[in-house]
Order: sequence, then C-alpha cells, then structure tokens
Amino acid sequence: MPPDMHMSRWRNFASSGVAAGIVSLGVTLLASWLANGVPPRALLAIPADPRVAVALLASVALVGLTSRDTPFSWRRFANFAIFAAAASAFALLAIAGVRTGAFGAMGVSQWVAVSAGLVLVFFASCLGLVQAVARSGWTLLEPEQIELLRERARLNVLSATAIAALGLALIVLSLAGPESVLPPAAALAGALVLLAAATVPSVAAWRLMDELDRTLTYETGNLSFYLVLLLGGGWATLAHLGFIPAAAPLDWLTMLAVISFPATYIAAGRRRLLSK
Amino acid sequence: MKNRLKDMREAKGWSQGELARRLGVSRQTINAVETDKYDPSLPLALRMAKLFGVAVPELFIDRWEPEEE
Repeated sequence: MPPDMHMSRWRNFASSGVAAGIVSLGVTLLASWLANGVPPRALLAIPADPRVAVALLASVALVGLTSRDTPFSWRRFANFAIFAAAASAFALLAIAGVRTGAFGAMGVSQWVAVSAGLVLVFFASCLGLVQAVARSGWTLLEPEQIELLRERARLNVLSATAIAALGLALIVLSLAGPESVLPPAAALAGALVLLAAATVPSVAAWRLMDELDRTLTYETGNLSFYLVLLLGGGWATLAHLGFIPAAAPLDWLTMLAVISFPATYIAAGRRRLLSK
Repeated sequence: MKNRLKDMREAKGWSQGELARRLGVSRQTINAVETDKYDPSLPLALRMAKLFGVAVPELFIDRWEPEEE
C-alpha cells in the first residue's frame, strides 16, 4: 500500500472514530439523564465508569475500523448521529417497556427474544425510512446512494417487510406462556400469520434478485448453518455434559431468527462488499 | 479474477447503470465485477463478452496455463 494511502486510512480511522466517540458519549449522557434521571453534575462521572469507557472505546474502534476506507464527511456524521439517536430512543423505549411490565413477567430467554425481535423491527423500520428518504431526495444521502436505493426500492421494501414480520413473530412467541400476556393458542395463530407475512415477501424478493444477490443469499445460508452448528451445537454439547443449562425452545427460535444477520455481514465482508 | 470490463464499458461511454440495464443485473453487480469482488456466472460472462463483441478470455484475464505433458 502506498504511504499516502496508508496515511489517509489512518486519517479516516481517526476522524470517524472521534466523531463516533462524540456521538456515543452524547447519546449515553442523554440516555442516562432521560432514563435514570441522573443529575447533570453526576453525568460527567459516567464516562469514568470502566464499563462505559470500554463501550465507548469499542464504539470508536468499530466505527473507525469500518470507516477507514471512507473519508469523513458532515453528511455521514449527520446520518450516524441520527441513527445512533434513533437506536438509543428505541432501546430506551424497549427497556422502559420491560421495566414497567408491559410485556408481562419475563425470564432471560423471553427478554433476549423480545430484544432480538425489537432489533429486527428497528432495522426493518430504518430500511423503510431510508427508502422513504431516498424517494424524497433528501440531501442527507449521497446522490449515488439515492440512485442505488431507488433502483432497489421494491427489493428493499420487501426485505424490510420480511424482517419486520420475523421480528414481530419472535416477540409474539416470547410473550406467550405462563404469567405472560398472550395465551399460547393466540400466540401460535399470530406467529403463523407473521411467518407467512415474512415468507411471501421473501419469495417475491428472491424473484427480484440478480445473480450477485442470490450468490450472497446462498453464502449466507451456508454460513448460517455453520454458525448454528457452532453456537447451538456448542451450547448443546456443554449442556449435555452438565456445564451449563440447556437452551430453551425460545432460545433456539431466537438463534434461528437472527443468525442470518451476522452471516450476511460475514458473507458480504468476505467479498469486500462492505467497503467502497 | 482480473478483468477489463471497466475499460470496455468506458470505451463505449456507458455508465455502470447503463451496462447493468443492458445486461439485466444490478449496478452493484457491475461494480463488484469491475472491482474484482465478484466473478460473474458463465452465462453473464458470455453475455458481457457478446455485448462488447469480444471473446470471454479477452474480457476476463486468467493466468493459468495447463501443465506440459
């Protein structure tokens, strides 16, 4: 790699990392103030907490590393800030829902399933929102991003619908059971309807995909199998040997619902499709 | 696999979107092929070669040579 390119990658890493640090710190302080009523004076002590400091450093490193090939721009900074604020607001609402008992009495498996379902719904909403922004031609997006989003509008809307339905199905299933808010029969009916609502747009999306999309989908499926084998198989092995408790059926459903998302990132990353 | 798709596309004065439209694929696919991130299927490679009026080996460069007997 030429020295000037090496330097520019470091500049991109530093500028994007610092921007991520500022946004993450701002969001953390705002969330602490809004959710826990931490007085403004005590807020300054929060970044000194080792756990918060590690999380902030992780955010800086992650954003810096993933942005090292892309120069800093205020437009990207604004996009990142909006996304971070929306994600935080969504997370705060979810935490408030759990704390106030809106989801009924919840065990760890249910809590994890509801959280995973909410994350899926959040990402689907973001995808829908970005699509709407591209349609409106709002200047927050790069012109080439707008063009790409417009080209793939139907595919993205179908994908967002499928992801949202899958997330909602997970939430509905996790809300069923003793001391929970949904009776099992109603949850089963709801989950079946939502799984159909996830399957139909997925099939329609498949028909709109070109060969690169389909290749990535095959690779994602392949990787998902090995991730389930690794995580689920590892868990089952340890549980069989008595080291840890066995996975609940809901844990398996959560794993199966979300495993394709890290697999998608790995598949795209292996082909260097996540960088420009 | 290295290829000369970008040179040939630019020689025709086409944008990535224009080439994608002519080949019935997404612009992302054209970009991925041009940047060596994706090797197209044989049918797509044949279509590309036909579109530019060249043979596939002129478009996609493979240095492999068979071993001598």
